[in-house]
Amino acid sequence: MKNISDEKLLEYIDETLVTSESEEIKKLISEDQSLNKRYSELLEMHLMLKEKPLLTPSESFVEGVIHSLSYRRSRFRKSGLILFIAALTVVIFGSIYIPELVLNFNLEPLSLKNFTVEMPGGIDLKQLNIILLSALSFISLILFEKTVLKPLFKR
Amino acid sequence: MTHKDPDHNLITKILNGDESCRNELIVRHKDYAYTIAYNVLNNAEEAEEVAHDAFVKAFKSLHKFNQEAKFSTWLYRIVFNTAISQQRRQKRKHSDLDEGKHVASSENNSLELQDRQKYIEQAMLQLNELDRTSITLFYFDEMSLEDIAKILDMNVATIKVRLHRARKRLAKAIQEILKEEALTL
Repeated sequence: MKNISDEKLLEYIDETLVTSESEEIKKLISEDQSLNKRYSELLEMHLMLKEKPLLTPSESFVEGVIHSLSYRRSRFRKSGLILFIAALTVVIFGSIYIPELVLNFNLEPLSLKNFTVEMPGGIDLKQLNIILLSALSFISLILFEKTVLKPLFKR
Repeated sequence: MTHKDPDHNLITKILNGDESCRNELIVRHKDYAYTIAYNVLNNAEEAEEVAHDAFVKAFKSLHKFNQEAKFSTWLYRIVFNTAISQQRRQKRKHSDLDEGKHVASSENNSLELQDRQKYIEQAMLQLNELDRTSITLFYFDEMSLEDIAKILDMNVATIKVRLHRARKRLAKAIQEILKEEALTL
């Protein structure tokens, strides 16, 4: 008697065998009792799985996902806008006050009259201010694009 | 260019800003997504949470989705990966059936069918989450071995072997459960 593997039987159940092979297995199943038993077990499992219904989540599932998506977006927009406003404020105040900034050293109370203090001359404060302001302006522009322009054009 | 995947139209609309189409896309896939998550986690609440997170992730990165691919395959892969991560985080084993928490979509409530469903669920618990998921995907009508392989990130030959083994084990488990049931009657 030809030995038929479970894999072959499953392929027979799935109807993925060529006709001649399928016919042969059909014949063997009707002749061989132990093969018939194995086939019946596999077929029972197959039919049980076929009729197994899909599970469904709760009724509020769709609403929940939509809510999460809207909340996420509004939260990002809100925090982005706050950052944008903060950066813009820093740029405005910085551009008004930083260039006017004057450093005053009053050395009288310390009685350091006889000491000569050499201040480091390597840092150009004005240039530093310009660099800082440019960087802040750049960040503001990026935030403006991400939080205001992009959503606006997307809409 | 015409697409065979019916989801592509919806995706294009969503990407163009029509957010009302998101509802339809969720409704289309929620049951499959939830069933996959449930098969991995075997817990209704966690499965719903995972399916929810997977949809949020998918919508968040929808612009990255390759429109030449099948949306369902892409989404179910996200669901499966999210469920696996969740399972690793929880490190919990559910030995009991989580009965009654989820709702079966079938309207056939005959006792015989319910019993059969109970047996198959009991038998499924004897498989690992990967085999459970591959079996569930296989019995979804539209899931080919190629699609299952993509979702589970394995090659087709491995999936084929795993499926055969899992189905054999399942058949055996069902027979044992049925024998036990017959003895208790």
